[in-house]
Amino acid sequence: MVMLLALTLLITPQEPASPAPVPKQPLPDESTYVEIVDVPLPEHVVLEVGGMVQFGTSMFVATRRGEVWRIEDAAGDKPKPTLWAEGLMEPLGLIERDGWLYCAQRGELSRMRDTNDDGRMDELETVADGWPISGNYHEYCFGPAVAGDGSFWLTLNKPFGGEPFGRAPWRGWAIRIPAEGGSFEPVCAGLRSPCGVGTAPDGVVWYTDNQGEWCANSKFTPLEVGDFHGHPWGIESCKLPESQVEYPGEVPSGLRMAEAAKTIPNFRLPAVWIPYDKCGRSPGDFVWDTEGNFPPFKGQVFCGDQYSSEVFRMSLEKVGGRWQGACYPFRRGLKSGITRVMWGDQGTMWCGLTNRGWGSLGGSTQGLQRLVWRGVTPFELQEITATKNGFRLAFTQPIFAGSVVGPSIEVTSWTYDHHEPYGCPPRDTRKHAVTGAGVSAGGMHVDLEVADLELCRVYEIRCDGVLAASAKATLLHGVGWYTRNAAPEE
Amino acid sequence: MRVSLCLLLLALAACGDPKQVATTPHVAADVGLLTVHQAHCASCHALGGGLDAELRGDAAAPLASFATKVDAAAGLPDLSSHFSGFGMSTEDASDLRMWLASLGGERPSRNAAEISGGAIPRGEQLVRELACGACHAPAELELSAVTDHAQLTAFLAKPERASVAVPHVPLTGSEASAVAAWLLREQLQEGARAGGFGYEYYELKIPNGDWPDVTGLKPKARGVTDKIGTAVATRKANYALQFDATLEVPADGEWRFATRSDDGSWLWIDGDLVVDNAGMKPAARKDGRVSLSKGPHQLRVAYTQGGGGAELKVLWAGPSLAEQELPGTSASTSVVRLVPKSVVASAPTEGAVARGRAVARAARCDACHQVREDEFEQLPAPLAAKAWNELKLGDGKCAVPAGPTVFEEVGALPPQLALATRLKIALKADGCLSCHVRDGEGGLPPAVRKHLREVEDLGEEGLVPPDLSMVGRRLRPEWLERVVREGHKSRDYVVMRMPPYGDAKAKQYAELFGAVDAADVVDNEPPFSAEAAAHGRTLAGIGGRNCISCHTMSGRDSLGPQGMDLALQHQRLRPGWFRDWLLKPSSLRPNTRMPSLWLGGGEQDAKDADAIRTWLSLGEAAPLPKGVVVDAKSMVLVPVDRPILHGAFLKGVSARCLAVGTPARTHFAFDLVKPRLAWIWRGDFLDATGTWHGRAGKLVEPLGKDWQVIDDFTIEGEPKRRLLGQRRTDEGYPVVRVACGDVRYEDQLTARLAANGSELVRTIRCEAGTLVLRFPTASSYRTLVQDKPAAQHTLTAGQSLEVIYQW
Repeated sequence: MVMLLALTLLITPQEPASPAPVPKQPLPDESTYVEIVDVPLPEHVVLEVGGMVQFGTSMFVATRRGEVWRIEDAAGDKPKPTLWAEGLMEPLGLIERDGWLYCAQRGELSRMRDTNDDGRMDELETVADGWPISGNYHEYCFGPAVAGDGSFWLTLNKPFGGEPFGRAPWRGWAIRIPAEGGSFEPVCAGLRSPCGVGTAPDGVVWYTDNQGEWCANSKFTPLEVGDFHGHPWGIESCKLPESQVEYPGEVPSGLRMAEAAKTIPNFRLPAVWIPYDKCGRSPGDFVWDTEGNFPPFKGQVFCGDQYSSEVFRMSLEKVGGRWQGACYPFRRGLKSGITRVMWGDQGTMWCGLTNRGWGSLGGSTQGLQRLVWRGVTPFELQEITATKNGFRLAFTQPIFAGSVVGPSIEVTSWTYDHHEPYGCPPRDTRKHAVTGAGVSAGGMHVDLEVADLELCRVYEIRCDGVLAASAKATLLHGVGWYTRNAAPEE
Repeated sequence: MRVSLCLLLLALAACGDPKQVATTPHVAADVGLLTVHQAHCASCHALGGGLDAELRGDAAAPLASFATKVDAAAGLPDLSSHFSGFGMSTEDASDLRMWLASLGGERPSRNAAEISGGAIPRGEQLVRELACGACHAPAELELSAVTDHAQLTAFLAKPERASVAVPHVPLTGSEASAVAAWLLREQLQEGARAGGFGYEYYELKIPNGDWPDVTGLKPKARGVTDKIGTAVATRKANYALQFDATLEVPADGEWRFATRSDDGSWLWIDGDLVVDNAGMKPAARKDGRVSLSKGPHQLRVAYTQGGGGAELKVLWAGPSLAEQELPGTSASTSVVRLVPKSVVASAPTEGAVARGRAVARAARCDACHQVREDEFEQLPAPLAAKAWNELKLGDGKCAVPAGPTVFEEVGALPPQLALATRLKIALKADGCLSCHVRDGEGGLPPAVRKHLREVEDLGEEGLVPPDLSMVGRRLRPEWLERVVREGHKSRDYVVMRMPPYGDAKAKQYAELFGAVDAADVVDNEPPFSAEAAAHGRTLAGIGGRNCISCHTMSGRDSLGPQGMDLALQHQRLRPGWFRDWLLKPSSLRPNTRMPSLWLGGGEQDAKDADAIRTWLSLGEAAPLPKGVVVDAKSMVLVPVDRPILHGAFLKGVSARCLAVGTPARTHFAFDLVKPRLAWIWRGDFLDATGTWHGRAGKLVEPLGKDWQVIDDFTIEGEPKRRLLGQRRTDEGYPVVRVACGDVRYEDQLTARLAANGSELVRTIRCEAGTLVLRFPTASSYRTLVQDKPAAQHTLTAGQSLEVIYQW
């Protein structure tokens, strides 16, 4: 009681403490700010999207059926798709470099072009191959992402079930192929189902992984040479001469995450845990918004989810020399699982869809949709960053300081076990006392002081009670999940 | 047991009915001979010449086989018309039954059967659609009194004797069961319903949380269970269950149903979905409410199991009923009981048996039926029967009272039968004319015909079996033989079925039809050229003569009615008929739906018709015509205008392959791991389901025919081969580029049409270094270089080698 009083005094600089009544108008929702636009396509064009790239005046879409469709006027009312290439093996990525389209097939990195300009690919070069395939359906090969040094990075899914042609090495690995091709280096081990692989503005390649066995929760992590990401399936390959990852030894099942990070050699904690069922279920592809396509969130990462058919966003900061950050809801309601995302014209994002084999929210099994920014800034929790004793919350609009009272911001945290069973429910869940909440002068930030902080935990910060200064609007989402692996010293 | 039952039926079918003979008003010469045949005159009288064998007919059933059937009290078997044909009185017939009963044998036990209530109407529908009435009179057999459901089903599914006057129309096990249920409908026990839930168990890949389409899928198991659950499944993953029952709801009011399942489940009451518990998920409960009146309601529960844990529970609660698992006692399947009448064993008196034996002796039953030798030892032998041509009217007593009339009307027999007469007798005797018409004779009675079901709008041709007039001119002898032997049916749209007659009859008919209809026909196949084949394909397609508007092609749908598959016609029809049929169809078959597409009938028209025949002569390799319907939703890949390329895991090859399907319906596949040619085949290309369905990754095998696994060339020194990539030609063919050591080469295949099929042309071009290839000798296909078997060949940069694959 004493503490609550003190808190109230601390955070009511200008206005009386009585909370203002919530306006009774219809509340804005996600669609007020971001429109979902369907791309109409004829029935025979099955776009189970594996990769997308804009090249020349056309959009190119690689599909899980091994086709590449070229679509003219993709953003128009009557897009014109034509079959540009076929006979590839489940390409799950597509980029353009020097006039070639690069894609990862299951067994090779390839590049393709149309030399006689008849609208059909006529030259396909094998840039690199040599990672074997056991014939298991789950041996997906994602990419490429091009790192700052021009090298190509691919992520290799681990198999589930039968391996008709015998067990293959390098499954569950990230591999690097030099810009000129020819060979590959296995650089990171311990991946599970790394559907998203992309490059940060600084040239480092990141990936997303999906919750499952040895992957306690979905995650977003940079790929740095020599790291072990936790899944022991492919670690025997560490003993092969090409491996750039030290053999981690037998991986014990059931360690608390902080313990795993300390004891398993080269174990890499994710930069962002993406809490299962709170923020999607199965993250896919992601892009950095370096241009400010969705202006209030410039610099953040936008990621599609293969199950929940939503795009969520993530903010990152470097703390103690390593990246960490938070994820937030953004836009739900697409028509199928999102495997690939790509920026379109200013203020738009392409979402490539497929849910074949796993199912998703939304009524379709495949297709293309776009998110279109409507130009209105929502009242949102813009970003969570770590401070020495808590977190700093940034908002997209000035807040009504009077709404920042005791229960209006709640902090809960948990951790996970690194173990073999499928996924891990939150462990050691705690409610944290908010011991201080200072609203910045312009009302754009709140500095939270939080009791009992510990590292290697996910912090859920809910600020449903925080109102905007103007019109006393409520937050559109008002929640974020911050992965606190390290704390700033100041 | 089964033997004696079927013999009873067959005996009924095979024995001529002498009474009928007597009432025939006028006997033409041929028909007279048929009468001689049907009355089994040859069993007693020598006919002379080649006629004895021709006219003797099929053997009748041994009399001992009737012993276990006899129910003297009930007057069974009721062979009254057969008996009276031999001039027997009712008393004679009764005594005869007593004697038959004394012939011994073990009486089979007859058992009650539980069958689906839907089986009886289904059986009736089958009997009508398959035109059983063409041979059987509506109430011909009192089967309810002489057999049970299991025995009759077994007989209908597989009679033990074939090739008699009532040919056996093939039935599946469930069809036989339904037909048996209808035939035994008098055994239906009113009000008898078995408890429990009927279920069907399907094994199939469950790709997601939706109810899979099981239409057309054969259940792995079906039965009745008293508990809805997963216990009836026989594996742990990838299956679906469907439970059906009539639910006896005890009170009016609101009822709550719930399912708890892992993975998906659904519950319908009277066809309305009440609980939707779909999804791939751990066990979860869903509820639904529905207002129901007291009394029976139809319940259906469906369940899917993908993988992992499996669970299914169904609960209900309602007025004054606390929630509980749905018990089998409150439900009844729609199962009904057929209860056979018990067999009343006759107690034969010695006198009656002796009298019956004498009746049989006098009627000469042993002339047709096999009788144990000692049975008639004590009785005086009847007078020896004279040879037919020595008979005179009033000579003596014929065992068949109508015999003298037959004799009088037939008169003297010719020393041998003309071919046409032989054919006619055979057609009649084998029951062919019960369904088919030939030269205006035969065909279905109107009462039977009116129940036939029409599938395609093709008029008379789509409804009844084909007219056999001129069939020997129409069909190739091999095809005719196949149709008769296997009961092969080319007309998918005719619901009636052709019975198989076996090899001997097949050869006989192929010969007779050919000799009678086509003795003077000289047929020549048009000479092959690839140009003619291409022209034929164009003519068959849209923009040509549009054959594809009404005919299917290689199993692909046409645009309109699904007329007979064009791909069959080359092997089916004789060349002369084929040309005539295309040019003037209605002169060969008035009122045919086949339009006259060539009105002139000049030389060019004949060339067109021949071009279509040349195209069809390619068989499996015949390219599909424009307009053929390719189902966009099907994952069966169908190249029509361009090659289709498909990257897949190929079974026994590798996990990194490229399969190429061509419009010439001649296909090949490369292994890209060690770049090499792996397979060649013809016909249908590939089903992409293994690669395109679910998370895929099934190992793929070719569809189609003529599949050859290639033992590919070796390269001298065997340096490791490395895939450099692929070019794609303007036509869409891949050119695989390979490096091995210092050598680089390109490898390309294209399909080429050739007489009676197709061949593959492989071009290997050396780009750098010196390539020394060695082709192994293969047994099942030929590799030719300049018409000689491929052996060792050396290529320097810029040189090419053309290898022809024939098989």
